[in-house]
Amino acid sequence: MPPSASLTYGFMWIALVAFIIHGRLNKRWSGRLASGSVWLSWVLLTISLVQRALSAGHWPLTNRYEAALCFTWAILTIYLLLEVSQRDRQAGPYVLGVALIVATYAVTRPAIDQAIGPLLPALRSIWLQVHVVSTLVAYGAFGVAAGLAWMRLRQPSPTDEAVTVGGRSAWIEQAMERAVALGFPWLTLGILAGAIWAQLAWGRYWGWDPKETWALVTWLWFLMILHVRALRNWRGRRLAGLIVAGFGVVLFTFIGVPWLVRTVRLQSLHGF
Amino acid sequence: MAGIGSRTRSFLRRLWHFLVRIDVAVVLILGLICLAALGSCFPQRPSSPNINAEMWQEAVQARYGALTGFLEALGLFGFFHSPALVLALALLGLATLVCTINRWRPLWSQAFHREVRFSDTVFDHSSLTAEVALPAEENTLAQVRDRLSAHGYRVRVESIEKTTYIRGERNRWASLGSLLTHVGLLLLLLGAVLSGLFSWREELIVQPSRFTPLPYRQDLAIVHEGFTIQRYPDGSAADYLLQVQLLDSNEEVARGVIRVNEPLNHDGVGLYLMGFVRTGERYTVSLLAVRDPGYGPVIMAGMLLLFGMTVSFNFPHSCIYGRTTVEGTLRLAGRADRRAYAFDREFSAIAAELKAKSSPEAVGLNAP
Repeated sequence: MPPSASLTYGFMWIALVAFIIHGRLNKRWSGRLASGSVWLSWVLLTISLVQRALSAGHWPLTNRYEAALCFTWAILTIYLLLEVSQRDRQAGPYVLGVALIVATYAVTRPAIDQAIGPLLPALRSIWLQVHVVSTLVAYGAFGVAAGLAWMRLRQPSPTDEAVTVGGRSAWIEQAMERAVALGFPWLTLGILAGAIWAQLAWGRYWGWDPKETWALVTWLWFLMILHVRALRNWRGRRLAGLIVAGFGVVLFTFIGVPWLVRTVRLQSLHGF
Repeated sequence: MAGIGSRTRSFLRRLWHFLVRIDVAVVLILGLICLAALGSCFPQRPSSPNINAEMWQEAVQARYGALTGFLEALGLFGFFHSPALVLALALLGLATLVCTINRWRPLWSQAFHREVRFSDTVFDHSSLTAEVALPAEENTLAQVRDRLSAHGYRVRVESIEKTTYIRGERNRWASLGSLLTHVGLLLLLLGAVLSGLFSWREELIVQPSRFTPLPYRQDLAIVHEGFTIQRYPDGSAADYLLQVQLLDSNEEVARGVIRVNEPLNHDGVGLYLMGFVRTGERYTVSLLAVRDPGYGPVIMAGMLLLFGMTVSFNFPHSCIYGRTTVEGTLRLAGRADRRAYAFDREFSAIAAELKAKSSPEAVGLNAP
């Protein structure tokens, strides 16, 4: 693993510990250490991805290792935008926890995945960038939403109705809904771009491939969440629970489907 | 007969009111999630003639043993063409259609035909309200209009006897966003139906310098003029290129290169490079010929979905109502789409700006 990627992983753990310390001490130095570590992680990961792209001669989107690094980058980027716009770092430990799940998956990929290789003929298409980038931006947004939802679930609110406008719960719920509203169109674009690419490559825009099916399951799950928000009894912690479960669906689509294909010996045209 | 007719109408009415409910839509979506997830856990019978069906069946039998017959009877090996999934998709489509028909008129009215005048229930049902004392100046209402316009509101005013109504709206057309997404979903399902009913695909083995007709379109034929593998410096394949000539009724209509991700298209038929095998010094190539009338509608549907979501999520509708009273005050109320997250602060700011321009005896704000 390149040094910058290893350092990224290390600093993400430092950031998580710093956020936990900051949560207890609430000191300026602990907050700055935490946010600074996240920024440093983001910069190092950006450098790592750019280095990899320059070495390979193509965008780092062609295998599970590269996709997991980009997924982590998307979570960190959206979190930093949230922290800067809200000037609030209370979601930090939760979102970092989510990002570390994905980053740990990345760093545990076998060496063959981490090696840089030339682009396969099947991947020589602009739709690789459009499809994978859109999908990972969506996953990143859902990751941030899951972190916020996790934070909401840990709040000891007595009832779901006891949400005060302008209060902490309201801020968290607004942020998690906005994150879902950010991710859903990007996921739609990712699936649409995937359909166009599949039509160009395989002559069919949809084939119920396991990866395609689980991308649809993810899309339907978040579509359900967008509808459930209109139901009165499905705000607050219940909605947060659905969002956390939705990220579980994202992780299964990203990590679990290749395992499912191998275990059940399914046919799949998707390499990862 | 009249009784049967009224019972039928009553049933249809109840069915209509059932299908427009959001909780029903949620249940239908959840049902589709469960079905799709279930189907993904079982190998699906391949449709390609190049895959030996008997060998596939033997492999499934070896894996599932005595359960094979039971799973086959449940339709799990052809799940994505099964009645259960088709029914679930049909129900979701029906619910979407009913919801779209039910809501398009109020959404259209909200976007284009809202009256300026409104009833007092607006003040009763709005959580954001304020009262501002109006000085007795001619340009007071113009100042109110200017303040609202400065915040991006389109302002309309109507005076009836001694009362003046003000309606300031922003993004009123954004209510059509959800209409677009629902129409997009219906178009997507229509495209899928067209693909299911009218598409065809056929695999062809094309030998070098041979004239190979398409089975579904005997007037079309392909001539293989050469196959090349481009390689990277390390010897791995970089690209596969098939030079072809396409003949329509023995006349050349196209000549070009087919690559992976770059099919050759003619008259609605696409030719896709699927594989190759070396035969002596040259390569025999397998192509897939496809015609799918559902592809265009599906892509248009995707664009509609994206456009509708972008409008709905990024341009929330907000409305500020104003009405003068005989006591010389201006009552304000504010309502916004739940995605207008900063609306309560904006409403407070507008009310404060109007208060600052009015007399010092302004009554005050009721903005949580």
